[in-house]
Amino acid sequence: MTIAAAPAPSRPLTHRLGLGGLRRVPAVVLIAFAVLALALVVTLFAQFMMPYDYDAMNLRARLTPPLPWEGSNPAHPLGTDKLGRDVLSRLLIATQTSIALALLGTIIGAVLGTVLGFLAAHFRGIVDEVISALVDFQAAMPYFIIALAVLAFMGNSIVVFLFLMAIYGWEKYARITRGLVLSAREEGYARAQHALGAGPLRTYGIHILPNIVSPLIVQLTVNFPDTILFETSLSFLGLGVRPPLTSLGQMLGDGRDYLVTAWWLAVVPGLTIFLVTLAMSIVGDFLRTHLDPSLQD
Amino acid sequence: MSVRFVIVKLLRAILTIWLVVTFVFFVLRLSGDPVAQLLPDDVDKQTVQFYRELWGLDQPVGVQYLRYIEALLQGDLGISFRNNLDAFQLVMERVPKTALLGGTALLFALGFGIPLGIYAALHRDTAIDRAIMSVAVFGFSLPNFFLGIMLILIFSLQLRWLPSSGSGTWWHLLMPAVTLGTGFGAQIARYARSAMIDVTNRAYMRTAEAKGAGQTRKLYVHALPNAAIPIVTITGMKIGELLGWAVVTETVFAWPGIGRLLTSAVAMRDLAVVQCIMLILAVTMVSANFIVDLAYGWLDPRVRAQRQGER
Amino acid sequence: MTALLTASDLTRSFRAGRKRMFRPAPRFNAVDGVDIEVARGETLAIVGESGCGKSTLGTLLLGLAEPSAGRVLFDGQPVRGRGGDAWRRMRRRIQVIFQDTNGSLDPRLPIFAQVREPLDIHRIGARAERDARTRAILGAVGLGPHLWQHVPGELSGGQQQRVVIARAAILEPEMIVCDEPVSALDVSIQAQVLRLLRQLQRDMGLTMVFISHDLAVVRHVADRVAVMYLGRIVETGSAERVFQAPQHPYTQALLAAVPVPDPARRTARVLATGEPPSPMNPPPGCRFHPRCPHAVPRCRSEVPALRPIAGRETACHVAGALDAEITRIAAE
Repeated sequence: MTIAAAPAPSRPLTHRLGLGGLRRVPAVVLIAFAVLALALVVTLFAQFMMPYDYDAMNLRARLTPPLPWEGSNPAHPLGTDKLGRDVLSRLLIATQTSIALALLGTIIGAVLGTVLGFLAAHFRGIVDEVISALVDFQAAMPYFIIALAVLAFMGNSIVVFLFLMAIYGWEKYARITRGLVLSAREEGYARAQHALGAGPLRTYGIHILPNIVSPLIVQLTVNFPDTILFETSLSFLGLGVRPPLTSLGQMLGDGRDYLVTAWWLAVVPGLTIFLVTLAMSIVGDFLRTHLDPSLQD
Repeated sequence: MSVRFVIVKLLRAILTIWLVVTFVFFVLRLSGDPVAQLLPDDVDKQTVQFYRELWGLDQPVGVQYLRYIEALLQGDLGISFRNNLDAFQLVMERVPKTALLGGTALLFALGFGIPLGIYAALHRDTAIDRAIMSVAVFGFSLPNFFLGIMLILIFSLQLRWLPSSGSGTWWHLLMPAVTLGTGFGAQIARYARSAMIDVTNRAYMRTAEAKGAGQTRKLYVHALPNAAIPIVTITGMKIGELLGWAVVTETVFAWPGIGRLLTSAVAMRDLAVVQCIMLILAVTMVSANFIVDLAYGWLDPRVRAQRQGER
Repeated sequence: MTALLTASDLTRSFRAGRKRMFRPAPRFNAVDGVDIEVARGETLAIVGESGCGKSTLGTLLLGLAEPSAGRVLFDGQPVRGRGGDAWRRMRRRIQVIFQDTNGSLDPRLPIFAQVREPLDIHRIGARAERDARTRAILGAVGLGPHLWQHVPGELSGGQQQRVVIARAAILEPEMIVCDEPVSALDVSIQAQVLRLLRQLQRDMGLTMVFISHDLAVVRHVADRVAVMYLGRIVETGSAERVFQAPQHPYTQALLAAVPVPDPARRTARVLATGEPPSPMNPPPGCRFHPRCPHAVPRCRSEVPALRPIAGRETACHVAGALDAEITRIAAE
């Protein structure tokens, strides 16, 4: 029995999430966190960070290579594109769009999946059957390709795109939540809540959700890079984000046509996507081993 | 393996295919008139009406759906709006190319992923394990379109060793297969490692050790068959993802498979071709899962015994 | 003596095994036709071996599970109140202390919040009043302020049990069902917790149903005892009578298994032989007959009903005669 001498204040969040044991964080993970922090800053403040309007053309300064390459111009550290637009400014806006979309999509999907998982576990019976069948269906169909077709036919709508991104991956949360809630409901504390007269919403919200949130957060970090790749791939194919909006995938898709003359147009956004997904994967791996060693994937 | 198990799985597979087909059908119908898209803007109403009737688009959606299902059941997958060719034939012409690409990528992924994963597991927590796993993290974080473009930049444009597009020779296959297989191989390596670690931690491995079984015997007789189960499962589950990535890879390398056909058909609103591709992809995925389920029952003696007990 | 809780013909059956095609799943009765009354202010102990259905009976008395047959009335009202409101009102009046204390607390919430929670659930009083009541009850169960912000995992087993008791008592219920409340605790701590329970009962005028397999514990708290065997009550009566002179052979066997400090008070040892049969497939007639040293042919075919013998009720065909026999043997 260990009891602190001083009265413990209300517990910090890290503690409640089971992160209390974190002591030494490897340097790679710190760098990954830094990359993600930078990406978050860009997502929030891209408008104030970009040196030029991302859509401003300068036909006299077309296809300027990035710094230190020959013919580069310090005014455009990452060079310019075929219309003389500043690549750095475009990159910032594109990063903002890609991350904001992926974040929104991931969160909507997570909330949707978690709620459906709770519903399935709460009502069981026919509700459970239907939701479980949907989960299986979602997992068994070529979703990326269906999304591709839907987007192509539904046209250039950011709402449809966001919707498709939210649908992508919801079933993983639903499956995890359902399983966790079913076992958590058998836990003594949940049965005790029932005996105390608490309604299901209270039991789920105050007791069960905080107790199952760790694996869900891990799933979120696993899912987020997937969602970014989902967005960038579709935009790369010219189906997701379309001009005048720009995203990393769309920039890369555009840049692909200039590989021979202006390699940086593809490499700069591609490298950015890679760095963000890599950082997220590293952080996800780290959280997985520290939050929930039981989760295999 | 019980007949009942196979039948249940089969029914489930058919249900999934039917759902995909239905879902795609309605989404495509809901999204505007393909005739308007296909014909030039200045055609007269009579022409529009003619094509609508020709393709049955003048009917209510419900009727169109029933007709479509009826035709499907008779093996008729429709006519391409674009060039009046049989959609199925059009798609099947492309299937070998995609199968070649996907199959090579799969071999590449499994051929590297499984040995690397097992090797890492057997040398757990050593420098080599960490190195392999770091490479794996890189591998599956690397967006496949970006990898493809980097390969083209390096090997086609800089070194001029490999062709950047097309599918004429075996050399053409190399970069697309590596592009498609890398991320998958990285995932396989991770699963193989954790499956192997899981298996070696289990009691029967310790029993084998107690029996004095040699290292090699332990590895091949006890560990590998059991580690194979999750690897097979994950391979089957990821086939759909692989197909999705194949579309992107084919675009990057202008590889003339069904992915390319799909992107162009989608752009042209060629309903019959899109539907046909979806059907074929769904059938492929569902069959892969079906085979995995059967393989699973065959690989895992406990599942097998249980099923026999149920019979 | 007015009955606060009345259960009549209570049965709860479970599926035993899988449903087959064209054949309903086999069922067994974990609780089989039990009648029970608990008077206001008394403590009724339900005793029996594990698997005899006493915990299932507890959940039925609490109204946490739907009986397959029979009903439970609390103060004249059905214990499983219809609709959310009636349900909630009933929860305020009947509380429970579960077997697994550690599991019945939320591992992530400080104990203060958990003890206050019943007041939050039932929206009793303003925030400040709730906090005051929580502080008072935590003091009453002997948990000092330095522990209030700890999570359950940081407390000892005895302290956790005090938290659970405080949480049950804060609503000032009329009845508490305790399901093996001390079986997970060290013997020294058991006594403390039992003392606390008795004190609460006295102070609050509680009615208690005390479920336990441990006769040594039951002796300390029970006014009346009901002995269960394979889903049925085989003997019930005042604790004093049942413990002093058990009539049912099963009760005798149970008591004989308890070490008695005073050898002079030892009665003839009557031991049950063998393991209890599976509740899935209970023997016909008296369910105890395969293990009973006194079984007669009638026990194999005819189910004995509870009948008054020597100031308590016993479900045994041979009980009365047996009593005389034992007295005779003891006298020799």
